Amino acid sequence: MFPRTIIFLIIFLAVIFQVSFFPNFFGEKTIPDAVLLIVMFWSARKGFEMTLFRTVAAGFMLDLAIFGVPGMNMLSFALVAFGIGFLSKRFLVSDRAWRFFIILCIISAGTIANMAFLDIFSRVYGWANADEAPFFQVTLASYARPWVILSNLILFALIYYPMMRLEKSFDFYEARMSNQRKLF
Amino acid sequence: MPRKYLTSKLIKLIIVVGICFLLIFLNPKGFFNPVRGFFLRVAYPFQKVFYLSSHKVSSTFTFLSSISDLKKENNDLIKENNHLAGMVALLSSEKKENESLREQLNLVPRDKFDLESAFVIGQDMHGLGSWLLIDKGRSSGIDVDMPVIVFDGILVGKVVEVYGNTAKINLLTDSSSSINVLDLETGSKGIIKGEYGLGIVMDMVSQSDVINTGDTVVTSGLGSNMPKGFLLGKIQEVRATQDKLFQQALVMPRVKYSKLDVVFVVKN
Repeated sequence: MFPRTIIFLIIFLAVIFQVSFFPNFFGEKTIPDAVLLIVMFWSARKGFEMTLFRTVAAGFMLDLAIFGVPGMNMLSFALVAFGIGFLSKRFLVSDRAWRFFIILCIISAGTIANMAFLDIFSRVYGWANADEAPFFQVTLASYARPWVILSNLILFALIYYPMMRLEKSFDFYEARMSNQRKLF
Repeated sequence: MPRKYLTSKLIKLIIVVGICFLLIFLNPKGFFNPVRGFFLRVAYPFQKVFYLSSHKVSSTFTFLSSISDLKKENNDLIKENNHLAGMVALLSSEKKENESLREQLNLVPRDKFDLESAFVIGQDMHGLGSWLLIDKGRSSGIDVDMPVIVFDGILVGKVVEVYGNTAKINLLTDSSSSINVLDLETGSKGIIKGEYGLGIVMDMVSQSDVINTGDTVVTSGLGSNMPKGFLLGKIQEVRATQDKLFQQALVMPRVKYSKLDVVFVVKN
């Protein structure tokens, strides 16, 4: 129960930071995706299945906060987390130097994928609701906004170690709780 | 699909995707508005504190980084002050003329509005939807479609969603924004539309009308409950539409929307 409450608070604070804190420090369209970063961190560390609930909760909360269509970020986060889980299982087994480089590549790929998914979903949603004409001239290059990727990488570097410590303390807490359950 | 590919992971992903599609499908009926209202009520104090504190810190950094330019800026300001002193004398006589013209044109005098000041506590982080979140809502008498201005009568958008203590403002740059406007110098009428957070365009101007670069664009008061005479910006570029049936003008807004911290909602 205790780790879940903390995780919920982390997601909530990440949403608040993304909507009400970062816009004052970053230029338009370069604001880091704090919520996406923590989702990517969790899915890279624990895999898609173990973090599915967190991913869905983070997406739903972000959808509520940004006045988006509920489900849109949830869907995008779920797909990105699935991809990150798949990639990290296969590539994050190398030595430390390469590991860091691979994490950067995975974060960049996740950022681009999230931008692409959100754009495509919102276009399809707009088209389905007759808000706007469909527009499918989508290229990968149009989502590779270097400043967003850079700000995401910087923020990820900043949150990586605190998040890692927190996760380790959760692991320790859960191990202790399961030992206690075995004893009693 | 062969059974070996249907792992529990993939099945869970398919279930989540299905649920998401269901949520997206349910949304047009406003199904989640009460949930969103509750979330915003809980998030409101956090958003207010975080936005205002980050705005203060950001302003301090901006000030510190501009110290090196202060000497040059001071000289420029002295020159400008001398110039303005001369202008004040000239404008005091024009003020009277302006008031009588305003009356003749039926523009609402700016001091007659019932304004509700509000702090900005959140904004669209990708700049694509172009919205602001303010710290006043239904409890302060704010309602949907009310115009939102900054202190000197410059229109920035209108209220589109209202909750207990917060409200969502769609900026003029939002693709869904559409407001009737006129060119103050020539009287040409058009509609202001947003360009996906990239700028604002005065559209649907008849080919026979005259619009010039540098002209001032104000609200015309036609259509919705938008009063006449709110300033939007100056025309930066005039061009013909693709089908050559109308003229379009690129309008340069008078304020930088991403830097707003206080706005006023026009209640009457």
